[in-house]
Amino acid sequence: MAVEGALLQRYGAATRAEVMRYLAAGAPSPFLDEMLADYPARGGKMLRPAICLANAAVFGGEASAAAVRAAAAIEMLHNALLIHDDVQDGSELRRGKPTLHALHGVPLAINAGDALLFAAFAPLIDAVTSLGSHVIRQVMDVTSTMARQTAEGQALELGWRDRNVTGLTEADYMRMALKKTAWMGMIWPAQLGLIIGSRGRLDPEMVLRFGYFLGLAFQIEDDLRNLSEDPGYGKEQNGDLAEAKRTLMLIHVRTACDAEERARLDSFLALSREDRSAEDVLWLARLMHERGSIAHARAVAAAMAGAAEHEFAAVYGALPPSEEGIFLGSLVRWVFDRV
Amino acid sequence: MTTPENNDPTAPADPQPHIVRPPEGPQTSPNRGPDTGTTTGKAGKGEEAHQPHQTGVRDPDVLAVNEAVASTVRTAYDVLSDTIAQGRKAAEQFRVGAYNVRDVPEDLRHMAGNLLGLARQLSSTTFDICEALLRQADGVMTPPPPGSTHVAPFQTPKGEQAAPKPAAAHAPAPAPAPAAAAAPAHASAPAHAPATAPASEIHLTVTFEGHDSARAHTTTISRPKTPTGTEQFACDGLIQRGGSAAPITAVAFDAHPNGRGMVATVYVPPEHPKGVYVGAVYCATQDLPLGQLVIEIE
Repeated sequence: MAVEGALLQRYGAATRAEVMRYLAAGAPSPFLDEMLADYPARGGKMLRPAICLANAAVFGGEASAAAVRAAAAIEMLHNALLIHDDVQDGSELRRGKPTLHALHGVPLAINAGDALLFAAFAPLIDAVTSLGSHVIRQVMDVTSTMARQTAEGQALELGWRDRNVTGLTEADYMRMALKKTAWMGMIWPAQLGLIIGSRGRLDPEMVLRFGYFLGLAFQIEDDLRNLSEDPGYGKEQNGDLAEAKRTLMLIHVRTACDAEERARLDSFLALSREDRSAEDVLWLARLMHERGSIAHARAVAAAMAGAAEHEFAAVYGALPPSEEGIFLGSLVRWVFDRV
Repeated sequence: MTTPENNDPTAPADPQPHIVRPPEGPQTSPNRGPDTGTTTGKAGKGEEAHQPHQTGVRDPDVLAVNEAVASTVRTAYDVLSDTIAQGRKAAEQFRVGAYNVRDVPEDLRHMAGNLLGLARQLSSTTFDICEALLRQADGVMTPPPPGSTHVAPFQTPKGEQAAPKPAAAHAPAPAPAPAAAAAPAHASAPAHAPATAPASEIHLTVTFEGHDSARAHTTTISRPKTPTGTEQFACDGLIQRGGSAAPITAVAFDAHPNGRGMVATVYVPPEHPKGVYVGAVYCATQDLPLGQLVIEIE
């Protein structure tokens, strides 16, 4: 992973510098500038920009200035959604620090998220303006599709939780993960990189399946980590259970348990977040282990990783070997090895 | 809406060290036929990469799990296909809708073409105007020969050209109409030059409104010495001769519709007393009256 890590670091530095350059533009604005730069300055894996840049290099020979600007747009948009996501989930920590709304209040945080959302279009437009109307059209198409899919995925997850929707299937979960996680996190960055790198000559759907399975593996692994002893990103262990988040494990355990357990589970899900006791949460965690839900989710995550490897080979296998290609292929393993 | 972040430096390097790798072909193959997804099915391209993890695994429970996982992979492909199909359907509906952003380039091209056409016409018209102005300027720059300039006399009633009569001593001599263009200006008369009235007079047609048995005794008035608009003509109130009836003040002047001098419209109230009424006709451009308007109510 040394080579891939170095590439990720290089891509991350270039993207971060571009983000800060765009955020520094314009007149100083109180109650806004500080908040816009807060999340980007906290670091982050820069996975999405790196996917974009690597794809631009693979399909275009280099990570051009246009690709770097697109990567900056991706990172800014990602941070904007993180701000809103934290508000929607009531999260207290983000990247080891208090969330923006915890620091400045919900109204200012939402406003900052809105501003960052629209500010992201500046580097995106700058990235594609010189590439011709066809490329602009393609970039706008995949971007609007991503926005729609992401919103739909978020609506599904929040709706299931808030309306206490039970009886979900694994297909429902995958549809939600495809929309909520994979599209914005993996598919869209890869598509932007492909479009810019190939100057619009290649079909953006080429990289859709690889991004989809990579995103599914990522999301399931993330849900699994939340149930581990160290959830990793500042949340309490089993926090997803306490929030009744509809995960693959929850869907599985509800079908694998007996009638009595299902009745207790449904009662648990019907409670509000505050009324769910720690004892019930632990019971549910144990039940998932006992009914094989954890093992099943691990197996599914691994299967999705395998599918991602297959799709990677189908798209990138015929291309000349390159550092960027190796990096993209290593993301499948990185899903499980990341820290 | 986004994937969770994990930047905690204290997090273990590999929190899930015992990841169960996908068993065989189905999880790495897009083939979703009924025979795929089982441990006995054909392996996909990723078989070699994952085979070591599953070598020797033949426990029935594990087989059941593998089949379930394979089914999940198949479901995952179906979910993706459905989503893509929905997106394509939505895009197709959008494309055939009332208006599509894809049409914008064509519309812009059409609009630009129209603009170019308009600009071309405007330029052509502008050049035509410039050319006409240039021709006129050429004509102005060439002074006419002395005596060739003809200035038509002030408005001459057409009706007066029908019956020629001897001209007054101070009036220009009448001439045949066809010779008007060629003859010297001072010796010619316009084609519609009056034949029954000298050039110093204007034919006056008097019409009446209101009373149905009134008639006029005035047929001409003097021509104003300077060009005068019809709105500048006026008449004093018509006073009854030898009586004390109310003056008739509603007299309006206008040009004759056929060019036959002036038309005076006199409104006579229906019950106005009989008699002869007289009033002076003036114009705003001179103090001397142009004549007298004489009417008679019978």
